[in-house]
Amino acid sequence: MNSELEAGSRGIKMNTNYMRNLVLNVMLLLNFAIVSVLSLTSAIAIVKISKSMNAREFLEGMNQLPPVPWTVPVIAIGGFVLLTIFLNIKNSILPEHFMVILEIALGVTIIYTLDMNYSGIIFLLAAYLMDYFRGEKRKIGLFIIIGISILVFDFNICEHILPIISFDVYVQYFNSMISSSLLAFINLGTTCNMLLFVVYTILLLSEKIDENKKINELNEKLNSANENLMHANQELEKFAIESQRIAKTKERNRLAREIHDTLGHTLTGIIAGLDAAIAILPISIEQTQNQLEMVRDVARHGMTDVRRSVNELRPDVLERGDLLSAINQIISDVTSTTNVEIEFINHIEQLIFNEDEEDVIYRIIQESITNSIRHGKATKIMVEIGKEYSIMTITIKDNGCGSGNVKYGFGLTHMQERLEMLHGELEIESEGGFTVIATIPIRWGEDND
Amino acid sequence: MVLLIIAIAAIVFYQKAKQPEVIRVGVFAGSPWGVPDAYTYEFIDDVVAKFEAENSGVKIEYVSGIMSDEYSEWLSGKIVGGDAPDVFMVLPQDFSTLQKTGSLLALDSLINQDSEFDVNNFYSGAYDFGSVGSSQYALPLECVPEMMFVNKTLLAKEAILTPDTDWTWDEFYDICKKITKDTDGNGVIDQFGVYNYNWRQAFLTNSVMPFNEDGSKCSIQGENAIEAIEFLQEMHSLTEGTVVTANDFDRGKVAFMPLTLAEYRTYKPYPWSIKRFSSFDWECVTLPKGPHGDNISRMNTLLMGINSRTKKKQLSWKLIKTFCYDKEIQSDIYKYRAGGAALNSILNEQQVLLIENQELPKDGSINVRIINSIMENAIEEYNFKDATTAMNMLNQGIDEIIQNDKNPEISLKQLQREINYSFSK
Repeated sequence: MNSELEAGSRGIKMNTNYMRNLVLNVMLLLNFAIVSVLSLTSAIAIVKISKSMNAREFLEGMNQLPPVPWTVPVIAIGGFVLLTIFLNIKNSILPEHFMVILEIALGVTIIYTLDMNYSGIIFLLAAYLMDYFRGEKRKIGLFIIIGISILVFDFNICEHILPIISFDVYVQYFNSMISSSLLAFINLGTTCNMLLFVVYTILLLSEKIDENKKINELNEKLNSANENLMHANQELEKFAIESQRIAKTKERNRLAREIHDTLGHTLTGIIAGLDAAIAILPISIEQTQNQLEMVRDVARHGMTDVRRSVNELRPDVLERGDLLSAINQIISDVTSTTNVEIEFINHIEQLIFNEDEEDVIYRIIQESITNSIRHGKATKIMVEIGKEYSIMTITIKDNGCGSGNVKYGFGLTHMQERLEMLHGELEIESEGGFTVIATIPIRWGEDND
Repeated sequence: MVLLIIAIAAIVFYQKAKQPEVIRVGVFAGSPWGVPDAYTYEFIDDVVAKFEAENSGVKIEYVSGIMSDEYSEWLSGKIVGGDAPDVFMVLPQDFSTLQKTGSLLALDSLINQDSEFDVNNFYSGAYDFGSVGSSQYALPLECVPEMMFVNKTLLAKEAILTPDTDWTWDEFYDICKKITKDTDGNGVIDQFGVYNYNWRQAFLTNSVMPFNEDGSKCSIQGENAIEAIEFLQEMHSLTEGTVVTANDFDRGKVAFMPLTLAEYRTYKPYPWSIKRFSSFDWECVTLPKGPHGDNISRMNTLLMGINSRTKKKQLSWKLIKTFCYDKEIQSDIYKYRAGGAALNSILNEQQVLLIENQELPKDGSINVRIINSIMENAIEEYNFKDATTAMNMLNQGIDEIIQNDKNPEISLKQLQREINYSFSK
C-alpha cells in the first residue's frame, strides 16, 4: 500500500516537475537579464555623467554619491552568478540553514547594490526556497518574509531612508529611444517575473492538490479494502463456527464408527467364542475352559481398544506396531477364538502407508472379517492385499452364505465413508460367499518408499 | 616552490614599499573671489614642498590648469566617476552639495584623535562654514568677509570723518543724507550715500537670521526685521527714485559700498590700485550696526575637504592640516592669495612679520586691525543647498517692498509665507 502511494505521488511529480523546472529556469534567466541591464545601465550612465558637463548638475539633484561605476555590475552580476550556483547546489557540505541564510544574504546584497530598483529577486528566491520552507508553519513564515521583503525592498519606501538612486535618474542620460526601451524592458521584465512566480506557485499548488487527491483516492481504496477484509473476517468467523459444528458432527460419526468397529468386532468375537464354548461344553470342559480364556483375551483386547478409542484415535494394535503385525493380530485373534480359517495373502513387500491409509486398510479388514463371521457364518476367509500401479486393492472373500440383497448397514456405510475420504472405492459381491473389494489410490512415495 | 612564491611576494612588497605613497589633491587656478590672482601654483607648490619634506615617502599629485570657474564641474565629474582626488578644495557654493551627497569625509573622529588640533585657532565664522549640524566636513583655507568701502575723498569733501568701527545705522543714515545731493544743479541727484547696500547687510547687522541653518525655513517676521526694512526704505527715499549705478561708484560719486576682503586686498595696494578706484582715496570699515545688532559681516570661505572614499585618511588629514592649520602656509595666503587666512593667529600674532616679509604691503595701505576685527566678528555665509534661489526670492520680495514703500509688517509676513510655501514644495 505504501509503495503504491509513493509511486503514485512520484508519478504526479514527474509530470509537473518538468514544467516547474522550466518556469524556474526562465525566471533565473529573466532575473539575470534584468540585473545585468540595470547594473550595466547605471554604470554606463555614471561614466557618461562624469565625462559630460552634467556632473555638477547631477550631484546637485542627489542626496548621496552615486556608486563607483564598475562596482555595480561586478557586485550585482557576480553576486547573481554566485547565487545561481548556490541555488543549484543540491548536496552541499554546509548545513541547509546556513546555505539558505547565505542565499538570502546574497539576494539582499544584489537588491541593495541595485539601489532597490529591482526587488524581483525576492520572487526568484521564494520560488527556489519553497522546498526549504516545508510544512504549514514554515510556509506561513515564508509568505510573511516575502510580504515584508516586498515592502522593505521597495524603492519608493527606501528612497527617504537609504542613500539610493532611482534607475529613472540614470536612464535620463541616454537618448530617448534607448531610455524608453530600457524602461520598457525593466517594467516588462518585472511584471513577467511576478507572473512567472504566480505560475510557479500555481503549478506547485496544483501539484499538491493532485497529490492530495491521489492520496485520498488511495485512502479510499485502503478503506474499501479494509471493509472487504472485515467482511471476509466475519465470513471467516461464521465459517469457523460452521466448520466447528461440522467437525463436531464428524467427530461424533467417527466415535460411532469407532465404537462400532472396536466394540462390534470384539463383541462379535466374544459371542462367536461363547457360542463355540457352549457347543463344546458338553464334550470337553477343558477345551471349554481354554475357549473361555481366549474369549476373555478377546474381550480384554476389545477393552483396550475401547479405552484407546475413547482416548483417541488409532486402533491399539496399529498404535503399537506396523500394519502387517496389526493385521496378523486380528487374524490370530479371530482364528484363536473361532473355528474360522483365515488366509492372508500379501503381494506388497512393505506394508507401510500413511497413517490415515493404514487406519482405513486395518478397519476395512477388521470390519469385513467381523461381517463374514457375524452375517455370513463363514468358516473360511481369504484376505488379499495387492497393487496395480498406484492403486491398492484389498480383497476379503469368505465362504459364507452371503447376502442376496446387500443391505448397507452401519459397517459397510462406514467402510465406504472411510474409503471416500481417501478417494477410494468399495465393491461388494455376494455370490458364492461375500466378497469385499476395496481399491485405494495410495500416495506411494510421499512419505515412504 | 614555496620559497619562490615567498621571494616573489617579498619583491612585490618591497617594490610597493619603495614606491612613494601618492596623495592626489584637487586644486584650481585663479581666485574664486572674482579678483585677479596669479600666484595659485606658488601657494600650492609651497604646501607640496612642505608636506613632502615633512612626510618622506609621500608624493602629492595635482592636476594643474583647471580654472576656478571650471573647477566645480571638473570635481563633480571626478566624484561621480568615483575617481575624485583624496583631498580637494571646496568652493563655497559646492560645499552643501558635496556634503549632502556624502562626498566629504566627516572629520570629527580625525579631529578628536588629533590632540594638537584646536578649533579655536580658526576664525569661528570660517570654521563654521565647513560644519553641518554638529559635524565638521571641511577645514577653512581662506576666508573673505564682507566689508564697507568708504570713499574718503568724497567724505573729506563733505567734511565728514571716516566712521569708527562701531558706527551705527543712524550715523550711516546721517552721512548718506548729507552726501545725497544734486551737485551740478541739473535737478537730478548725482551724488549718493550708498550703492548695493541691501537687506543682506541690514538684516545681519540687526540680528535678523532670515533662514535656518539648512535653509528649510524662512523667518523674517518680528521687530528687528521690520526695523531693517524701515531703515532700507528711509535710505531708498533719500535718492528720490534715482537709481545708483556701478558707474556712479567708479566715478567717485558714491560714499559707501559693501565689498569683499578679496576686492579690498586686490585693489587697495599697487599695482591693482591703478586699475580700479584710482581717482579717489578710499578705505574699508565695518558694516554699520542697527539698533538691535552689531557691526558684523558675513564671511565666505574656501574649504579643504577629504574625499569620503579615500583610502588614506590619516595622510589626507595631515595634508589638509598643512593647508589650513600650518601657520607658515596660512601666512602664505597673505603673500599669494586675495583672501584672508583662516587661522586667527596669523593677523593677531604675526602681522609685523607679515609686513616685514612683504606678505602685506609696507605702505600700510591694508588696515590689518580692521580686517582682523571684521574676520573675528564675521559669521558664516549661507551655505545651504538652495541658498542662491532662496536669496533671490528674498531679494525680489524685499526689493518690491522697498520700491513700493509697502507696509513692512504686513508685506514681510506675506513674503515669509510665500517663501516657506515654496520651500515646502
